[in-house]
Amino acid sequence: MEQGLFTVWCILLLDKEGKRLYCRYYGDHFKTLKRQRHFEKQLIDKVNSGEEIIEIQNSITCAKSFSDLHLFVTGNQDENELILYNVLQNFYTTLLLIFRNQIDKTILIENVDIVMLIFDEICDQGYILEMNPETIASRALIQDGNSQSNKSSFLQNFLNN
Amino acid sequence: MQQNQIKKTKPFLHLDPSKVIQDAEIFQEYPIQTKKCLSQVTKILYILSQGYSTKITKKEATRLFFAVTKLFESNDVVLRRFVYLLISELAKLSEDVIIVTQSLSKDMNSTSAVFRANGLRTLPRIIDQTMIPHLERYIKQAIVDKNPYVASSALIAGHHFYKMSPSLIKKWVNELLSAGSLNSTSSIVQYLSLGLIIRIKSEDKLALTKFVSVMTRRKEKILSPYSHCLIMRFGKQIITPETNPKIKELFFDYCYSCLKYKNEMVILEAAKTICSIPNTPKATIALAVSVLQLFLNSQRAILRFASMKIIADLGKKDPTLISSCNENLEVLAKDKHKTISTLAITTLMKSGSISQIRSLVPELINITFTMDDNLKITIIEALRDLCVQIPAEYPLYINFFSQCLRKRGKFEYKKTVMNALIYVIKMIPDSKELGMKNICEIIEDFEYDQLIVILISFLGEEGSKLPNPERFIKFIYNRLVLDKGFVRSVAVNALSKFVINNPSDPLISKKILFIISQALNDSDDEVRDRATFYSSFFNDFFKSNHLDQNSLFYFQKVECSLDSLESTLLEYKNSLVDSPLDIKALFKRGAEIDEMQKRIILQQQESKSFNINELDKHFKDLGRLYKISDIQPLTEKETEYIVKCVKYLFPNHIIFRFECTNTLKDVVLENVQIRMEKREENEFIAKKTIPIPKLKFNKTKSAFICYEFPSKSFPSGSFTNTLLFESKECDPTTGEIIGESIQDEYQLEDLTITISDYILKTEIPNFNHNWKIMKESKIPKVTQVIQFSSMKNLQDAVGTICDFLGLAPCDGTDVVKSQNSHILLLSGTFLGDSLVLAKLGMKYSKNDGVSIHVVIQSESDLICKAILGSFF
Repeated sequence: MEQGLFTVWCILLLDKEGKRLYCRYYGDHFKTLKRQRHFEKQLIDKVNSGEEIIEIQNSITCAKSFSDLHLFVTGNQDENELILYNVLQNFYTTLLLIFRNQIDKTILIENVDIVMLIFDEICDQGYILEMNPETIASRALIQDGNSQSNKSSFLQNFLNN
Repeated sequence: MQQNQIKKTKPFLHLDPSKVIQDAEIFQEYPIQTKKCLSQVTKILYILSQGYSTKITKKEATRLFFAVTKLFESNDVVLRRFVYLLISELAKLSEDVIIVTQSLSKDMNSTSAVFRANGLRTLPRIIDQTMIPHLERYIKQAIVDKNPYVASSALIAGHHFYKMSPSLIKKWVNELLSAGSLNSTSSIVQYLSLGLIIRIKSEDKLALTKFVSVMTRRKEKILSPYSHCLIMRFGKQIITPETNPKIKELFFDYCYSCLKYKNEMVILEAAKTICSIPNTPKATIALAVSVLQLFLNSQRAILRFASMKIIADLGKKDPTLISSCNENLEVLAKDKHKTISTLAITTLMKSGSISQIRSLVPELINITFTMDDNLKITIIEALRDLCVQIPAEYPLYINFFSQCLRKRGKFEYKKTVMNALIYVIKMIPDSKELGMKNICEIIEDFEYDQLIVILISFLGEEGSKLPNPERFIKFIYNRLVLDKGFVRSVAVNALSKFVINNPSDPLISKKILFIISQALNDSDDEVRDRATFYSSFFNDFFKSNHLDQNSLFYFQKVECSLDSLESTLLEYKNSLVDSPLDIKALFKRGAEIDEMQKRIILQQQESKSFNINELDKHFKDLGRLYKISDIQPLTEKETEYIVKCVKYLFPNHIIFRFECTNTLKDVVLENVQIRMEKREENEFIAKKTIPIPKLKFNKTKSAFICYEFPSKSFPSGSFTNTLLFESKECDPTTGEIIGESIQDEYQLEDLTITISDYILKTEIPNFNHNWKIMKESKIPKVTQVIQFSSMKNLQDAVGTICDFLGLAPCDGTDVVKSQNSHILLLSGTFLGDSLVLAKLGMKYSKNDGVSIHVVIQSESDLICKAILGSFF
């Protein structure tokens, strides 16, 4: 185990069939695409059979399913599971804050840029960067006092294009 | 243009990676088209996350990286945010990324928090450690920035830099400990700076201990549950048996308070910490267990799982620690989440009462089918052990294992189940009837040939011994008709067992002979061979109408490895003896060779520097190796030269191997050899000496000396030994020889050869029976009464005699039960060939010490005398 902060191995947002909506792997735990895909397939199989906590080899994964999507947060098997679960919850709550109750694959893929920023604001190369969903949401929407832009215009720009 | 065609929905479906990369040309256009660029960056990020990041070439990535850096010219916050995202992603895939350092440092000094935070976070992916000092000032400033976004980004950068260059980051401690950082009102900033400080301090145990005690005292100032977890995780490293009790108490107090914390993450970490510290008092663990017990009942799966894991680990260490949870475990065994139920079940198997476990079995059987193979294997093995503990309930288990075997499954899993079934049948004789019936059904349809053959032979071996064995024949016959050659040949063997185990039943014999004669025309060579062998054998049997005991021996289990059997056969073939082949003797001899091999392997492990084959290289034609002695040190452990000796015994030779180690860094030894001088005249004749040509520092090599001794004589003697060598000084770093060579010598301990060197300890079972057989066959025997007035009690006498004779005590007679008299039974193999038995009647009286009546029996008079002689 790495000495220091708690670390996340990967965060995955997959659809029902296991296709990636967006995902981030940190560190060297799943180096090749083949291993990543294999891991994702195993996760999908497990989550489809109703599991919320998945142990695969030396990893542990917390899973959450909503609408037509699955969200996974993976870490070392000795990790405090509640920390991984906390990251998972923060991610989900952030989605709720931004998209209200309309979270599904279509919406998220239309707004994949925001999804990317949520990933980036929650975790930096495996280190947890922020744990407050409201803060994560506002940063993902780039609602910064100094910014010249805000969510509506940003989204508008994107969608109208 | 491409960008204008983006549909409102699904803009990311069917993106072609090479096209997306190509379209990045838009980044070069001036003025920058913010929206189009933004959409393009997003697309690139998207295809990278879909797997393209593992396919993109370095050249492609580098070109893309350079293209995107152009976008720093735009000051649009959103665009900049995405430029950073892409730069971070490409940094590890591209070359020469250092080029953007200037843009980053400009952003780090910007007034916009977004710019500063992202510039800081991206920095560790761009620069190497040599550049840290140039930018350090900005980072240190940012660490204490009031804006948590900036401060936490700077701290994250600090963590990454620490991996590159710990010594540089250590100097940041003052900033980290300041009001803006460790005492920040932002919980994430506090957590990240705490993490960095602990990381820095963890290299120095004393500093870490001090820091952790300070933090535990100020626990109310800690804002984030993450921070509490971090303190405990590092804190437990400072707790060792030597830790100051006060500090220990302080830390445990802190853990107790965390057990009552409002956040479950902290409670869990506290319980985990308490349970994982070695030698935690049981009462303290009980406290943690009682908190975990509440979690076991939780509605939330994650809490049940996390607490179950700790409980399971405790159960592995000591099941009594968690016996209070057994009732919870019974409930959890039925949990809808398989990971939880399996943990609960396997734990309960260890901690539960027999009745609790029994009530679990039906449940277990239900859930096992839907589990992962690995979990199944764990459970099957647990059930196997359980069944043997409660033999009366075997039908449940036998039926369950059989059911598992009938369903499809992977090889490893099936093998485990099969072994469990066979194990249970072997251990519980009553279960044979049911077990065999099930095996008959299982082999009718079974997918693994390697396993089915084991089942078939087991059925042949055991089924043929049950009443009415003929009912099993049909099932094996089916295999002979329907299966592959490999399986058919095993079926022939299995069928033959029915004749061998029921020699007096003519019906069975006729039936089997008929079946086997059909196999004589089999298309497979192996099947035909075996069928021919058995049919000719059984035909002989019918003619003479009885099975001769010696032939039956062919069907017994070979009690030694096949390699050893082969070498005994070769030995027989090459020997000049004209006696008929005695199979029993061969097996016995084979078992001895096996024993020998084991010793050799053991010794190989002891001295890794020596390979037994080296002996063959130096000494040829000495005959069979009879014995390898234990390693005997000839020097103290901490001397300049370490020498150990091992003796190898051959029919007329003994080889001394001296294992020498050079512990001097600046000396090379050359021509290293041992001078052995006889202390008194003896019958050993020195034959060959092999020195070590060169022995460098920290190397271990062997020198050899070979002695001959006359046959039919087993001389003893002692030698004084001296290590002779030429030493040369050398440069310790390069190994280059500097000085002149100097002749030198070094006194070693003495070596003796006694009778025990010729004897291999072989403990024979049932000593008295063998004694009687030897007595009846009138082999040489010597008897003598010997007085040891110096010995003060019988137990010491037994120890001494066992040691110097080198014979193995039999039937547990090495333990003296009475103070006044004792019978010691000893056995061994002399020069690898002849069995030696000794019976020692021992008496003790205060006045005369120990008197021993020795009787020795062996095939050779000489041996008897040699052993007896050694007493004087």
